[in-house]
Amino acid sequence: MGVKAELGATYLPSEDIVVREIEGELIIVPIVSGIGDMEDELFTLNETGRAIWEKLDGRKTLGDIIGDLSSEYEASPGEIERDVIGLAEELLKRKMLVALRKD
Amino acid sequence: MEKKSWKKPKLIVLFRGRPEEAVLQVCKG
Repeated sequence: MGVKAELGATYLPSEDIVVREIEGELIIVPIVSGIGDMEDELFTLNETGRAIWEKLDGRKTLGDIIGDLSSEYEASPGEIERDVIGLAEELLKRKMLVALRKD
Repeated sequence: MEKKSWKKPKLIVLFRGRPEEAVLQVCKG
């Protein structure tokens, strides 16, 4: 029943959120209801989460992003793929990310 | 170029509460 992220798809941040960098920290602010769990919530991402977020520009596919990260980070491509898809699916579920198109 | 260490990416709930509290929490000029 969960939202599936696909390697061949491209994604970009939803228009239902506002993202601001404050003192070096990325703050994600939902501007419509239903993004947080039951209550109003603000979000941030850890360092690798932010690295992924900044590559979600609507042009690169998840596969492209995984390839980029594999050259930047010390981890197996399989681990990076699993983690990138996991984060993308969480962001999709929370409506912070939207799919643009599939190749 | 030296590769950085990979940590599982996480979405972190920074604040949970009413909007006016959240606004102040972002600050916390």
